[in-house]
Amino acid sequence: MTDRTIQGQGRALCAKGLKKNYGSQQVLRDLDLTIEPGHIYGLIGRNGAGKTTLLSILTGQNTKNGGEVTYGGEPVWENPRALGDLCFARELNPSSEVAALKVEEYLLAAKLFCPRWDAAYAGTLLKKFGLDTKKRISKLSKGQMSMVTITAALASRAPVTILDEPAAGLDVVMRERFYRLLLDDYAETGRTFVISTHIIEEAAGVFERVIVLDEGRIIADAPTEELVDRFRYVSGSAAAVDKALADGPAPLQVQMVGAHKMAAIQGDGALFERLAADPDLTLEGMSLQNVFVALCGHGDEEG
Amino acid sequence: MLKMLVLYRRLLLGALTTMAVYVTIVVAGVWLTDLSLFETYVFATPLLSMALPAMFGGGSMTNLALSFGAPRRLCFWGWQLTSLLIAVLCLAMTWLTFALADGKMVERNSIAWDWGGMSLLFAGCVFALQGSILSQTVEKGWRRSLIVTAAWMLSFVLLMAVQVCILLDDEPLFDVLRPVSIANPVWLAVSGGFLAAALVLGVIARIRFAKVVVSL
Repeated sequence: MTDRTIQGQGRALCAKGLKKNYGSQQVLRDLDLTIEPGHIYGLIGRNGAGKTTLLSILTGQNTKNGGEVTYGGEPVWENPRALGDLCFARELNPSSEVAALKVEEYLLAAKLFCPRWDAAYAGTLLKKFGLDTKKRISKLSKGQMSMVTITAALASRAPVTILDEPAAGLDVVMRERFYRLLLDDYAETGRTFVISTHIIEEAAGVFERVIVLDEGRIIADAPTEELVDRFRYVSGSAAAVDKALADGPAPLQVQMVGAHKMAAIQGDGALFERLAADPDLTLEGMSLQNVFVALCGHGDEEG
Repeated sequence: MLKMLVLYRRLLLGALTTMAVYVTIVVAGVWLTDLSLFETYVFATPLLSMALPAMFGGGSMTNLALSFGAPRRLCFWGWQLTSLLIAVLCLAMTWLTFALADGKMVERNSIAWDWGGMSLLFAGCVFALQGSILSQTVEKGWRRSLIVTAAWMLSFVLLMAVQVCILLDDEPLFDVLRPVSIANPVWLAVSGGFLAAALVLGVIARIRFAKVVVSL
């Protein structure tokens, strides 16, 4: 078992001016990020936003074209002290070479190279998930593959544990079970988790902080509640909405239903109070998923 | 380094088991039957010992180790050590095959009979291995296959040249190539060339390994 106070006093994982290109395509653009110890972070972004690339560079598994990545002030790249504290559990690909390995071989690698590997906990998780360790990864279902990576990530007991799409392929019951396991582990150890996911609404309750990545840039990095609280839907007749927003802010997303208009806006308490006082308008809170769509939808209109 | 050996133990055991099964069948065939076929297989053992280490490349295991935070340099040297162990084991098994079949062999022409000849085989083996290691820094596909095949084919050509020289032992044209051993300056130069080429491949592999991107 791990002591929460020790794990919680971890070191920050930082990226400064991070750049990554694949040929002429710029995937990460001058990105700055600090993963503070002792939080559960959610990393969200559209497909191709650069999430996996960012996570793999943060853990020294991919090269960068510029900038630096440090852990507790030390460079991460080829630094065993930093690498031993970081665990990046990737989504497994059934057609990759690794998929030819048995689950036990996959977990053996985790055991060998994760200095805080908790074999007893790994055993408990395997039992909970009903995984056969003699089976080849390629023979597992997508959900079972996710369970293997979740087992490796949680049993690694790494102070910074990063999971890329851990819930992919899991059914709703298993997803619930995973989030519960994650929260239990977090309560016990206080270690840092970074979770990249597309299933935003379900995971929103788990994230303490949310990082939104869009086109290689971080466009939001804030505590989940604080972030969601900065956004509202304002709706009413098109004329009333346009009049109210004439002096700003610019709507992030607009939906029209006949003459009725609904705009997603970002603002502060004073703005929301002013809009709420307008009898022609209705002000509604937004979910994290709606905030994400408003931020990353680039003004997509629905009518 | 020990961790890498533990991780690669499956490859080591795989190569060793394959070789052991082959040796058992071939030696048993030589002793228990009168078929000349098994004697031919004995002569083919050096070829197998050259191909096996290259075949048991540990690409997926390396990627996995890297994905769990193993430094690239550790993976590279761990892989080199494992490959070398496989090569030495295969060569030892080759020698063992000839030693066990000795009493029943009609022909005794092979480089496996003395250390000078075995050293030649070792040079070819190391070259094929470095080609295999370099190929693992290349994404799966035709480029990777090309590197492995080219390195292995060159080693194969070396081995065939050696065998031809041994078989045509009454041909005066090949006098300069006898004895077929590193004690002979010509073969010393050839094996030196193979080892130098292996070193170049190894250095390129190390440079490429230092920037390898993990993909699972």
